[in-house]
Amino acid sequence: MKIALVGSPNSGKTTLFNRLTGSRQRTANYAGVTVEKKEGFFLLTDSLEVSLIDLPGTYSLDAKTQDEKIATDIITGNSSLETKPQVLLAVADSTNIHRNLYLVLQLKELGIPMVLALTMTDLAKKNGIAIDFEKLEKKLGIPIVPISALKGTGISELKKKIETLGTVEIKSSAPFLTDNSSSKIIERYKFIEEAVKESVHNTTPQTFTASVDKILLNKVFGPILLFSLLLILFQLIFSFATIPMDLIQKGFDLLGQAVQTYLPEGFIQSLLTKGVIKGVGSVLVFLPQILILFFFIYLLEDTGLMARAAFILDRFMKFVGLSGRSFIPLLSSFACAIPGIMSTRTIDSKKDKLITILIIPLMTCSARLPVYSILIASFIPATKLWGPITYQGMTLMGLYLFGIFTAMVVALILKLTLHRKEKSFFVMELPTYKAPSFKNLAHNLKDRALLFLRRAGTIILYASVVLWFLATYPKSTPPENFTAQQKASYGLEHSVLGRLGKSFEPAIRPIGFDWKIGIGLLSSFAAREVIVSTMSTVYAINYSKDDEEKSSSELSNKLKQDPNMSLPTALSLLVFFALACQCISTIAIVRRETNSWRWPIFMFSYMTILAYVASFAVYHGAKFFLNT
Amino acid sequence: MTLATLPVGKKAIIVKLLGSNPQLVTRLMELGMVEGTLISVSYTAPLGGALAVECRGGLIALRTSDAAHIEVSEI
Repeated sequence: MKIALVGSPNSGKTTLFNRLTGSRQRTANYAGVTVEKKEGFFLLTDSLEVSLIDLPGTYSLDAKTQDEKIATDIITGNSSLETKPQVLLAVADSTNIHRNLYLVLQLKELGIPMVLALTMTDLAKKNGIAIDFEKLEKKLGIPIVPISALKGTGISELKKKIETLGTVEIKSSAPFLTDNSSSKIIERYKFIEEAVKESVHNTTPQTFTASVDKILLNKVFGPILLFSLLLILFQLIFSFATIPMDLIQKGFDLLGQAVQTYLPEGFIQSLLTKGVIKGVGSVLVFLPQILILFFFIYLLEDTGLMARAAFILDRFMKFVGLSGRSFIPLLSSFACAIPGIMSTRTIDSKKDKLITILIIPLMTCSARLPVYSILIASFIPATKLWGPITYQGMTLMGLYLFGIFTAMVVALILKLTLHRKEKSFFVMELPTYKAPSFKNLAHNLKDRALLFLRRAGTIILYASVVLWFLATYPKSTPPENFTAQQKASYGLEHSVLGRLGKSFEPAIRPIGFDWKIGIGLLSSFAAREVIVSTMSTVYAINYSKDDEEKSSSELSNKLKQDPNMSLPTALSLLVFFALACQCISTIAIVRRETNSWRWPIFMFSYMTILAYVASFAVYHGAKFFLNT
Repeated sequence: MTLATLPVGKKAIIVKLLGSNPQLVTRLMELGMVEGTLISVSYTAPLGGALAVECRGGLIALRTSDAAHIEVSEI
């Protein structure tokens, strides 16, 4: 038997889904669309197992967004993605009964057997909302089960009700059309008003949410509190996350060393250590940041704080045609674009979500920092500009601002040129504050982590193996009297990657790069910071992780001595790194989130062209002004 | 009078929903903001640009520019 779980956003639908199915659920994407398919299984009776489909949260069956369209199509049996469910399990929040009953009424008009689970009845009671369930059941003509998914009350009654319905013969299967004219909406609300008047008695008005909002939405305290919260979040992502990240890195280093010690030198050892372990390790290292970010996002969503944050921040984003929902994903992309892109799921407008995804890689992620620092240290004078501020610090800040500015301009251009049927708008419920369920949080986090590891991990693995092959073959024989570093440099220079870098030179000459940077650029497509270790190999420097500082100052010296490297070239390279999309993981995750190759290809192309043009301008501009 | 000009804390009845974006109008109606509904402005966004209105026992955030298309009469 197949049951569909339907409800408005914030109705407690996911909590009920987790309560019913426990760990027996799986998340996947529907083929060809960006909507997530969430399916779970549970035992209705001792012998009957049912499949429960968690449909996207929707306010109505009027398909305004893709999520709603999919939910509507599946419910009405018009979907090619899913067979029609036999029973609907509707969910309505008893503390927000007017609005939640609207969808229920629409569902009822379809004539599919349904049960209504009224959630958060414990909370309603505490808030002084007395509901006469029998009266409401009679008026609506739908079996109602009061539950509290968080505490688990009413779940067995719910199963019993579903069981009796499951055996009922479906009467109508007439073509389902929902009428959404204004007069019909008014009519539905008239009916809801009557029903609520008869059966719901609210003795005390909502006070908790109102008193918290008085502070959080206060003109002075609101922004201050929000800013402090974001500060804590990013402090955690930037500094606290480095502890588990270092551990993961160390683990992979140890694994690499173990392989090096126990396997004989040769093809397998090199492939494992330099290809597989390095490649997979470079992705897994982001997991702590992703988990911290998502922990916060889920916490903010579950408590009702996220909607307030979006409400306050809408003003900022309106300048570039986005809404407050885009702020957190963009901000978190300063750590890494991958969690940022994954968190765009909270943006309800599809167009805004797409634009946000497309501009996220322009935000200065932490992988750019090693590249920035080495180039700045080598070519920008440490002269003081004003007080303690140096040219170096100004350059770094300038690069961050440059990324933000470019992202805003691109967002504006996309907003004006992307033609999508959906018109975006900003209307949002500000739900009442609720205590988060940590069981739910853990569940959702596990889901996110698994999805990230499975998808991005496989693509990165393949890519790193390919890159390793390109950087290793064909083998060449370096002169005998070379040192180990010189031999490594010689080998890289004569590999496919090295040859590519050289044949690539005419294309990058106009922006001031030589073949050595060309090799670095090619290798940095695995991950931006890889350019530092590649350049170290090219310049034949013993680059080791343990002695990063020493080896980077060594690289810095070599760069300064190279006649091909000049200030215009360094500036050009900085701008190129600020704008180019050199990150396979980002491309993979965009492919996943947009479910097509179209947008990652578009993103990659526009960023590369932008980077090239900007680097060209900067290189020649700098050359002109510096008279070199 | 429109919802955008309604003073904070004052109660009003929705008279008419206008506006150029029919999707927005439908969404507002689905959220219970239909003609004849009691409504009040609870908060203005700290940085401006948006309002949080109380309607049917809950808060709904919308942009001030959109609220300007909702005709209300103060009671």
